[in-house]
Amino acid sequence: MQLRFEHFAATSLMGSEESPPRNNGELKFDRDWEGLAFGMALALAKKGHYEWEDFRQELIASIAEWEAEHSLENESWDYYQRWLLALERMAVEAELIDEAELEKRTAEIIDCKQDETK
Amino acid sequence: MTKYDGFSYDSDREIYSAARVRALESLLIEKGIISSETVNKVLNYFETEMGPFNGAKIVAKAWTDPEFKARLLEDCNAAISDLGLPVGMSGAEGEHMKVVENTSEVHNIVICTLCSCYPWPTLGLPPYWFKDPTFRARAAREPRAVLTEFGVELPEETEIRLWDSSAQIRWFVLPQQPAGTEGMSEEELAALVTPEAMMGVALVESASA
Repeated sequence: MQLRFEHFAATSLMGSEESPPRNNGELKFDRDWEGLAFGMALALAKKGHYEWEDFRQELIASIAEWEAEHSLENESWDYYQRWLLALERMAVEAELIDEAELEKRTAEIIDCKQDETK
Repeated sequence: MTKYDGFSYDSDREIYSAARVRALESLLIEKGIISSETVNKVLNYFETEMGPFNGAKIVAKAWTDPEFKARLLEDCNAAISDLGLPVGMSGAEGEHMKVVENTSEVHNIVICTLCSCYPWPTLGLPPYWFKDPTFRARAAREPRAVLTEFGVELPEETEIRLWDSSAQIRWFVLPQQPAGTEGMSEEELAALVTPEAMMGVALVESASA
């Protein structure tokens, strides 16, 4: 039986604290960018730019970093912030992007949005 | 229940995160690594192909078609492939999924030791409490008390059976059809079925209830 990559990837996340937020059996994205970050991380592994297991380990590491600096009750906990950090690191490590161009593009988007609201 | 309500994200951080994800996507598209449709395709899989709506469809079909129900209880995998649902629904490597039926005499609850055994393409992604050892232990020791906490009150004489999903067999519960829904279409019935009902920690209620 052929197993879809998405199926495999989601199953591998079900084990423990790296599991994504969900509601009534479905993935739960509170903000648009969360779904975008989730989908990009899977898509890059699906296309072979990195191993899914390497992403999962990077995610576990970025969660552990947060936990080392905050108490578990700290309200600033944000799963998809950790996901995004893991995704950026994987994209840089796989040499898909470099950090400087990501910074630059981010700044451009923020500036542009600020112009729009002026 | 959501933790999000009333909790305001730091607005600078929000703007930054949203911009950073868009920046990443636009760079990846520019470099030809992904297309503008790539992410939608991935998300679409979770929204339309694999999720609790599959289990709900199976339950609604069983309620309206006695022959299908008999086949489902006998050979779940075969019955599911008859429905034309996606391959891999019953689990990663074609493990066996089995259905247990709730009746007025017997109420079934599914638990699992390892959530990697959870048939999420049918039931949806498992809730947090499901893999909690306390939930498992208490469900085994005092299922009636646990059901009461979920808002399920059963008559004294109803027998409660517990099924432990494993790598070999993944269980799901065929809930009882609520009274007064006999004339409803499969689609309308499917909309009433929740993941919790297919784990046996909730009853299906008619929409008017």
